[in-house]
Amino acid sequence: MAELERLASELRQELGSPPDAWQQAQRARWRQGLRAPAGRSRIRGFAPWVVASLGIMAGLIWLVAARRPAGSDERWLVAEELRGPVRLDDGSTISLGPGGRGRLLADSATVRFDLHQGRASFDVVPERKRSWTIRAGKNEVRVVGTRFSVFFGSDEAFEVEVERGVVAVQVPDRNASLELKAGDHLHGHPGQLELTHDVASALPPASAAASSPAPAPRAEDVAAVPAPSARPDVSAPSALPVAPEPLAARADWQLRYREGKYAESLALVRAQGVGKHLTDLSPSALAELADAARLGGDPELAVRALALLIQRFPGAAEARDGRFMLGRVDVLRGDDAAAVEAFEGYLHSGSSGRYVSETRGRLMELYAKRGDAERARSVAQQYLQATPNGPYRRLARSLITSQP
Amino acid sequence: MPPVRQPLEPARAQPSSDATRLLLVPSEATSSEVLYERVAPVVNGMVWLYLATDPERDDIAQDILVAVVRGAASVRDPAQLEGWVARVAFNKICNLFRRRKLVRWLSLEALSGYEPPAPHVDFHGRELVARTQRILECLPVSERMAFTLHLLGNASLEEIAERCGCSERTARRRLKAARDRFTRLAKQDPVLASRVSEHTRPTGERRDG
Repeated sequence: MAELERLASELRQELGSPPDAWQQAQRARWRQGLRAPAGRSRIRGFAPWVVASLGIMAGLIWLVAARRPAGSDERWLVAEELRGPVRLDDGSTISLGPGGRGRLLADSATVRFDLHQGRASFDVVPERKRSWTIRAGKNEVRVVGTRFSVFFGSDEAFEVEVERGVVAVQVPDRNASLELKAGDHLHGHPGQLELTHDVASALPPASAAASSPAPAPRAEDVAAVPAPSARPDVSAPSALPVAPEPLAARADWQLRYREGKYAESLALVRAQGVGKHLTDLSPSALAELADAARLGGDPELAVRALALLIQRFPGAAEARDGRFMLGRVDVLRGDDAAAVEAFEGYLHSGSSGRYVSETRGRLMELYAKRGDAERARSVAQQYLQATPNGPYRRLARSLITSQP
Repeated sequence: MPPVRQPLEPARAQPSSDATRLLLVPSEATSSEVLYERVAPVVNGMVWLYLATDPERDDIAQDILVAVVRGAASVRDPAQLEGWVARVAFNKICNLFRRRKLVRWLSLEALSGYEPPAPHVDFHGRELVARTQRILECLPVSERMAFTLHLLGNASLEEIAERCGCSERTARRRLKAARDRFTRLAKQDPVLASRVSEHTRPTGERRDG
């Protein structure tokens, strides 16, 4: 402290004791009741931080609120608490069987019902702008406009019974959706689902009850692959007279197709009877219908549409690509001979198509598969010459090097 | 020559002056005014010690007085009133320094360089005190409180420990740290540097601050 002693001494002398004048002023101020705040306002310094915090909080609240669409309805439905069917604003109804319970989420664009237990029956008013989805465990039912019921019970027992219209069912065992029509009854457990058709329970479609007859009875195992069948006679008229669908109705399935909802598009095609009026469709509509059928899980309808496209509009660009697509569908159906015919037809129609390389690759496979090594090598050489780095290059090289 | 110690709390050291002061209070004075006359010297002395050149000195003194008068009823032993008042004033000033540091850190003003409030016009020529206060602002609050008592108040180690609410050992450690910082900073000040001697402490010297 010694080094500060001089400074400390001078400081104490300079500071002194509180001056009397100051003390008297303080006393006078006290007596006058002056109670000024201790310091300058700190609000000015804190204000930016407060404003920033409020802004962040408001932003978070807005984000949370925006995630939830306005006007959405979310509630739990329990059979014991319901006095009758739950009626939505568009007239659609949901009924729960004894012990049934699930969660309903509805807004202007979608209706989703998660069935947790029991049976739920739905009477959906067709509405193009609103999509219905019913989930029962891992199963999912998409609705176009229909009356049906879904059951979900112990051991993941799952059941869908359609009374009217068409629904698309997505089950874990299948990649493609399964379309159920009026009278169809899907029931069973995961991996053991069965589909039966009951004519008596089928109601005529609400919109076409007078003109559309009930579908023919059928029973099939949904897990089974459709058996290869002969090329349908596309020129033959439909066996049952059905009134043509309006163009506006046709546009619906095309809209769903362009949205990538192939199963729903195919369901609409079936519901509206478009498949029975293929001759009314343009080349582009036929190509789209074939795509929807191929991707939606109806290869027979795809073959019919493609065959008609090639037959009626042989010069159209869609027809040329249609030959390649026809070959692909034939491969899926297991009809290799028809596939080879379609692929060769595609190559013969010109050498500048966008699927030429792919067609050669597939032809290589098919030729090799049926033991036609000479043709396989010939196509392999063409393939390697045109696309030496193509995806079939290894197969092509192996075919060439295996030459005896 | 050892430094002559001055009383830290005049009210406690000169109890006889209380009676004199109280005689000056008008007979119609309220109990608050009577209390003021008793506690004001302690508060003013503490404020003067720490905030003699501070522009907010008067307001802070009034705030402390208000708090003291409002809370005086909680003191059980009237004889301990001055000690309690000194503790309240010390804590209030300590909190003020901490709050100022926090505000300086949080305020956007820190982004553009903090400018302390302009001091009063130095009519009394307290340049040394003003410069010293500016250096003291750079010290940690706990060190500043203890070191100010020692440097300006000439308080003993026992008094410092009692006022700061810590042990003498802690008080000594704080004083040493504060003195080292203060000396280093004072040597950079052109006015204070000439008053800080180049004294080298003998090894093993025991200092009480």
